[in-house]
Amino acid sequence: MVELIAKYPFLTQARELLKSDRVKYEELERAQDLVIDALAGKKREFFKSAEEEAKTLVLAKLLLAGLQNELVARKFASSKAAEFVESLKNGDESELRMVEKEFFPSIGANQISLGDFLKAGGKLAEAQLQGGRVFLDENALFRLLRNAIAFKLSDFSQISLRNMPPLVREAAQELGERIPAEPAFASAFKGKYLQLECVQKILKGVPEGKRYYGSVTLAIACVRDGLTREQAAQVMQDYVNNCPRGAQPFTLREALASLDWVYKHPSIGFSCSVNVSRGLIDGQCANCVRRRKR
Amino acid sequence: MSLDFIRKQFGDYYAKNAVEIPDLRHREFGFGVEDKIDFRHKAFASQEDLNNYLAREAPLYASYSAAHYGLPEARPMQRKNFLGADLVFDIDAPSQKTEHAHNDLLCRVCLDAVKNDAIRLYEDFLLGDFGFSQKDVEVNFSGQKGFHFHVRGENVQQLSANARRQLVDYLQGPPVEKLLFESRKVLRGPASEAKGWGGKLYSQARRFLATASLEELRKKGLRGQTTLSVFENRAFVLRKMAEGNWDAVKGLHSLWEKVLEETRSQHAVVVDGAVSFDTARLIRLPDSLHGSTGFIAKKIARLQAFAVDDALAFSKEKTINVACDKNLEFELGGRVFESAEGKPVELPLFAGLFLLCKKRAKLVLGEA
Repeated sequence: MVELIAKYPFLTQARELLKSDRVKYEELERAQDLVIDALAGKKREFFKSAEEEAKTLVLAKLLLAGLQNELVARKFASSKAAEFVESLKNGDESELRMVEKEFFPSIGANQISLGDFLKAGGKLAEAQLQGGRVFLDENALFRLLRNAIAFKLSDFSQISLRNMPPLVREAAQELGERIPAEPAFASAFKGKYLQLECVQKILKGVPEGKRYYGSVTLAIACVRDGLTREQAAQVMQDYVNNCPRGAQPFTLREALASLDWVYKHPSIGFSCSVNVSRGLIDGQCANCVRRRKR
Repeated sequence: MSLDFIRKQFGDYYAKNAVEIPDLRHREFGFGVEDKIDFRHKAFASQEDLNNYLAREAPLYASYSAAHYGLPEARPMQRKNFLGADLVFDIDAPSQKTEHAHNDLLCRVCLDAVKNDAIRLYEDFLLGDFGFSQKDVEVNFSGQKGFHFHVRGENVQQLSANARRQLVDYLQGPPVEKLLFESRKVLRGPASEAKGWGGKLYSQARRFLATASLEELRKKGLRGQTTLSVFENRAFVLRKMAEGNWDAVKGLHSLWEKVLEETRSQHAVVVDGAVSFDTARLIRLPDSLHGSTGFIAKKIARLQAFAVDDALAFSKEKTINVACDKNLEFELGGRVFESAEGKPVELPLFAGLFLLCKKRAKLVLGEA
C-alpha cells in the first residue's frame, strides 16, 4: 500500500501518512517545484517515500488554493492527472483496480453508477446509459478516471484560506511569481460586446442565483466578439474570480460548461431583453451603445 | 375586492387541507401575493406551523427549496449551510409544437401534450435510463400548465450543478455527430448493444429499415440506385449496423440524420433547465394552491390517470357571480363554460375562482 501511495499520493489512504507537525520551508519549495514541473509538462520518474509524496501533493494543493488562480490550478490538475493515468495504464492491474475503486466505488464489469459517472465529470449526452448504470469501454474508463483525478486535485472546497498559515501564504505568493505570466487578456480585451457597460458589470461578478445566467451572457459576448475558446476561458476565469462564493461557489467548471454550450451554438444572439428578464441588467441601459444604434 | 375574496377562499382551503413536506425543518420557504415570490428565507419548525401560516396568511403562491439547509432562515444564501438538494425537473410546455385551436385560458391539448412528455420523462428517463427508484420520485401537477418531479433519494443530494445540467441536457439527446461519425472513411454509429440515446437511435433506425417500403425510403430523401440497393440488401445493411458499421451502402448519412431527428423528437423532453441546476431556486410547494388558477399543485399517484379536474380545490355546488373582461369559453370540471364580455354570470366556485385568479374576471356582488 505504501508503494501505491508513493506513486498515487492523491489516494484517500495517503491522509493517514500525513503528520500534523509544522510545515518546513523546504517542503513548500518542493511543492512549488511540483506545480512548476506539472505546468511545464515534466513527468516525474522517481518517487520519494509515500509520506513525502503525500505531503508534497497536499502542500501543492494548499499553495494553489492560496494562489486563487483557477486556470493554473486546472492546468496543474490536468497535467498531473494525465501523468497518473499514463502510469496506471502501464502499471500493475491490481493498482489500477484500487485506484478505480477509490473514484468509482460502484464499479462492476465495465460499468459504474450514474452518480459516480457524474461526480467524475463524465459527459452524459453520449454515454451508454441504462437503468442508472453507465457502461464504459477501457478507453472511456481511463478518460473518466483522468477527469476524476483532475477534479480531486483541483477541488479546494475543504481548504480554508482564512486559516492558512502565513508561511504557506507567502509560499503561494512566491509560486505565483515563479509561474510564467499569462498575458492579461480578459479585462483588457476591447470587443464590441465585452465592452458594453452591462457586460463589464457582469464581468465584475453577479450574486448567487444569477451567476449561471451571467456566465451565459458573457459566453455569448465572447462568441459575438470572435474570441477563441481559450481566450473566452480567460474571460470566464476573471468572472468566476469576481463572483461571490455564495452557499455554493460558482466554479470555473460550471462557467466553462456554459461557455462550451454557447460555443456549440454560436448562432445565439446577444439579447438585452433576456438579460433584463434575468435580472442581469438594470438602469445602465439608458447609455447603452446598442440602444443608441437602434 | 376580488383579491380579498380569493385569499379568503385560499385561507379556508388551507384550514381544512394540510400540506406535508419531507424534511420540512431544513427547507427554505417563499410566499407571494403580488408576485410568485414576494419574500423568501422563511422557515418552519413543524408541519403544523407551516399549515397554520398558510391558513392564516393565505398566500396566493407558496414555494419551498429543493435544497436542504442547516439554517434555512439565514441570509444571505451562504450562511444557510447547504446540506444537499433534491433533484427537480419542471416541465411546463410541450416539447413539440402542434397545430391546434389553442385556448389561452386553459388549453386541454397543450396539457395533454405536456402530460405525455411528463410520462416519457418519468418512464423513459427517470425510471429508465437514470434508474431512479419509484419510491424516490414524487410527481405533482404544477397547478397551472405542467408537472414537477422531485427526486429525493440519497444519491442525488450532493449532485453538483454541473451534474444536474448534464442530466437536463441528456433529456434532449446528443448532437448528431456524437452518434454518427466517420472513422477511417466509414460511417460509424451505435451497434446492437448500444444503450442510452445510441440504443434509442439504433432501435428506431433498425425498426424503420426492417419494414420500409421503396416509397418510404424515397420519402426520407433516398434517390435512384441507393434506394434500390438499400431495399434489396437490407438484411446485409442491418447486419452491418448491428456491428456499428452504418455504411454498408454508401450515401445513407442524410437518411440516418433524419432518423436520428425523428428519434429525438419522439423521445426528447424539454424541461426548464435552470429549475434543475440552480439549487438556490424555490419551487411550488406540492399540494399548495396556485394563485394564477386556484388549482392544487397536486401530488399525483398515477400520472397516466391524471386530469386537470383532479386538481380542483373548490366547491362545485357553491356559486359566485363574476363579470369577464371579454368573451370567454373554457372546459373545466366536466363542464363547458361560456361568458360574455362585461356581463355578470353565475359560476360554480371552482370556475369563478379560476377566472378571478387568471385576472380575467371581477367579482360581482349580488345576483348575476
